[in-house]
Amino acid sequence: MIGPLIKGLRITFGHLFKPAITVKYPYEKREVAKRWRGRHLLRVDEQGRELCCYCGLCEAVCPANAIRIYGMEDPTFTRSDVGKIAEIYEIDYRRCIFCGFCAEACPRGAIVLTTDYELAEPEREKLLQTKEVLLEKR
Amino acid sequence: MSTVKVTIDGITVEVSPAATVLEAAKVAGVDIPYFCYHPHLKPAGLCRMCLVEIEGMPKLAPACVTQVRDGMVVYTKSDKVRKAQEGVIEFQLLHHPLDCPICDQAGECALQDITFRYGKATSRFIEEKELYPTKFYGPLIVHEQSRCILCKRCVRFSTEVMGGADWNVYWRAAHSIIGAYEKDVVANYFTANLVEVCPVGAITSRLYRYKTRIWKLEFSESVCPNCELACSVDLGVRENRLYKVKHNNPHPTPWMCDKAYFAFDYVNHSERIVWTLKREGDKMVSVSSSDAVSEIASRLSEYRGKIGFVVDASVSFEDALKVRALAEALECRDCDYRVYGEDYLPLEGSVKSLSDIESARAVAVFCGDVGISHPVLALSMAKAKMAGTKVAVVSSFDTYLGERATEYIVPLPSKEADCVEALLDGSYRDDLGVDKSEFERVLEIVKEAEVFVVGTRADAYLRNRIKGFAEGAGKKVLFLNTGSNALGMCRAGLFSEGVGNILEKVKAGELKALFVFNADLFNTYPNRELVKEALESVEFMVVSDVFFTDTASYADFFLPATTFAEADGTVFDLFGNERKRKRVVVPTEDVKDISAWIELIADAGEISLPDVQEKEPSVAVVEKKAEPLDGKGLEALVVFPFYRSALYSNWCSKFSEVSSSPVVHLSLEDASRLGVSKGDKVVVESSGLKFEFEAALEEFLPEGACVLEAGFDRFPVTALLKGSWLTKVEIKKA
Repeated sequence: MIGPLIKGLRITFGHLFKPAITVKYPYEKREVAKRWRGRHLLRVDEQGRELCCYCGLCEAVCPANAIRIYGMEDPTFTRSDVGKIAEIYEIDYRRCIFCGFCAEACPRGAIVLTTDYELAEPEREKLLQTKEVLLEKR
Repeated sequence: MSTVKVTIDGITVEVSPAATVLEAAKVAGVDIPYFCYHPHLKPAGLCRMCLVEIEGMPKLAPACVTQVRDGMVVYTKSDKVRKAQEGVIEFQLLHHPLDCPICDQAGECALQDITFRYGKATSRFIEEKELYPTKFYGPLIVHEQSRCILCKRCVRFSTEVMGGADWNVYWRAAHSIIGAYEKDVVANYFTANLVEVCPVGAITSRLYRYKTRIWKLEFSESVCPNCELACSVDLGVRENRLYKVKHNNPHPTPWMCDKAYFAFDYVNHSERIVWTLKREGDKMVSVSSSDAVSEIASRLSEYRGKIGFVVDASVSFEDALKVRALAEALECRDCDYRVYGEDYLPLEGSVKSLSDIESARAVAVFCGDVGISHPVLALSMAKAKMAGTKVAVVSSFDTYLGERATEYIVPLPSKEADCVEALLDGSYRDDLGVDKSEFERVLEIVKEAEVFVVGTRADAYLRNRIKGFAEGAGKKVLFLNTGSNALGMCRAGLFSEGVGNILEKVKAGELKALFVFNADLFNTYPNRELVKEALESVEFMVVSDVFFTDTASYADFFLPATTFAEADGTVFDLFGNERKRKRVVVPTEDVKDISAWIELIADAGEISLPDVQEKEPSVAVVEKKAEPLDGKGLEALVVFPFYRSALYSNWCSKFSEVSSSPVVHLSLEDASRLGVSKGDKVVVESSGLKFEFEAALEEFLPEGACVLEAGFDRFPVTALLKGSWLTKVEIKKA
């Protein structure tokens, strides 16, 4: 009768002297896999020009209908090397399911999913990610 | 033998012996891929995509140019054909940049679709591709030679349908490029078709350029609001905004004009007034629509019997009926749609479809610029001329059809009607001021003509005269009217003695209030002074329009109106057919169509609107007007140029760019006398008013005449006029 009790307590006390596996989250962060699908990023080239040329494939492939884009001309080629950029690029994080199809469909590697998983916002409206937020800042 | 039997992929069909294998395959329901074939252009056999195997023929044959034979057996899916198709696609893609992500054609691109279906997934071509720079041909179209597959559809459209040779292939073989010779701007009224026929993204529209993707647009069928032909169009909408207008089906022709294709962006314009305005002192302040409606209604009883109604001829039949119902309920008789000061009502012609014109042996066109007023009609006449129809044009200014006609006489604007009458009489008169031999040649065509087309400049007297003559001589007549729904307006009974009469009555104080729907009288009525005086003396005025026009600035109340894309409605086309406009864009809450506004006003004022019936126009015998032109100088005809003649062209971005400054067209003789050359600035002066125009030289203008362009924002040329579009002006070099 006393045997199992001792056995149980041994496990309990045994853990007391082992290193803790809990991560103190806001102060410590876990490393995630390289292919983690987190916050989107609109990439730019070496000269800071946007890679996205609004081909609309991410918008078309998105199963959750979370992406909304409108394009415009860039006649001076200052913002894009092909003269076409997205005027509006929105990803709605209230809808996004982080499937990563958008990144897979993108012919220019303009949209990628990063390892940033801290997506919570205090207001629902802020979950609508605009181009200014998504664009890679240099 | 009337038909022949052809077997295609085991399906036997009977077709006409004149058919090609491709047409027979369409009948059989067999899909043969093609790029250069177009059902309304002559076959060219250029792209080789439609190669098929025909029993008894050693080599593959292009289906689009191979005529059928009785008992012909065709295979379209054999290994040999598959291999050829793969090869053709590989060749087509050799220099293709594959820039589908950027290209506006992606999604409706024949090359994309056919490659996907018939091509190989990989290319063996590893060498560098030949790329060409992008070329912008003016504000309307952009040409990307790199994407071109040299199917020559655009070139064939230009030469076969439009009858011009400036859009063509230059250089040879592998170095061939398509383009306009020594021209930087291509804006020829039918530029839209170059974009529409292009199977790839080589020619694209600058209006739609890069805005959205084609698969995001939802297309619905509607009707173009710009002229009486009421062409079927597809309106492409995304998120309640209109992005694209496409030709929908061959009604009335397979082609469309630039007005339909490029002049619709005013619908999304940021300057649109989408709330109700009320005058307070000198300012217009925003009020709620219900307040505005009840205030208008409360003031109406005061003016019972003393209200004038002016409606633009582009509004729908239902709206016109409602306006008349309100007018009748308020015991007012003065309602009219003829805002361009016309004195005629639509006369019923005997032409019932465009094929009557296309199949005629000879056609005579009188008094008008059909190319501007009814572009697609002019196009089909130009096409008929190339197919052998004789076309005679009698017009003092014609920008499109004249130079493409068999015979063209250009009388002085004041002699235009006399000249037509002399032709009907069949006798030449010396005072017409036209060459006798030219007159005789036109007379011969007029005698032979099966169809008369009467342009918008012909007045009521001349129209009756032509109608009488044509009925006597057994000829068909087609009467053209200004405004896209003139026939509907007339059927709705929305006419009295003309807009001029209403304005005179307002000025004299007989009418105290005025309702103006969708019309900017300052821009359209050919007497600016009268409009100004009338609007200054009117006690109460309500304007309903899309934009805050000069006319609206005199209003006591401004009610925001819908555009053609925002309200359902019926219009009547040139031939009297009913055509339906569809609501594809939902406007904001305050924006309502005329019917809705009138119903609200009637409800608020407890006015019961009577059921109005269609009204037969009274055919009055009109006396010939014989007002000699007084003043010194040149006879000046004021016209709206094509790129200012669409609805709200001042708010159509591309149209404003094409025709950015007003031009005066001078005859070569007058120009050399004045020492003016093309592009010079000239001052046009009449009764103390001065306007600066840019000069253009016109080969087909008689000495002593000039043409002034109207329709420009903040350029009130109508101030020169006194009720007719013809006046006299003095021209000096600036």
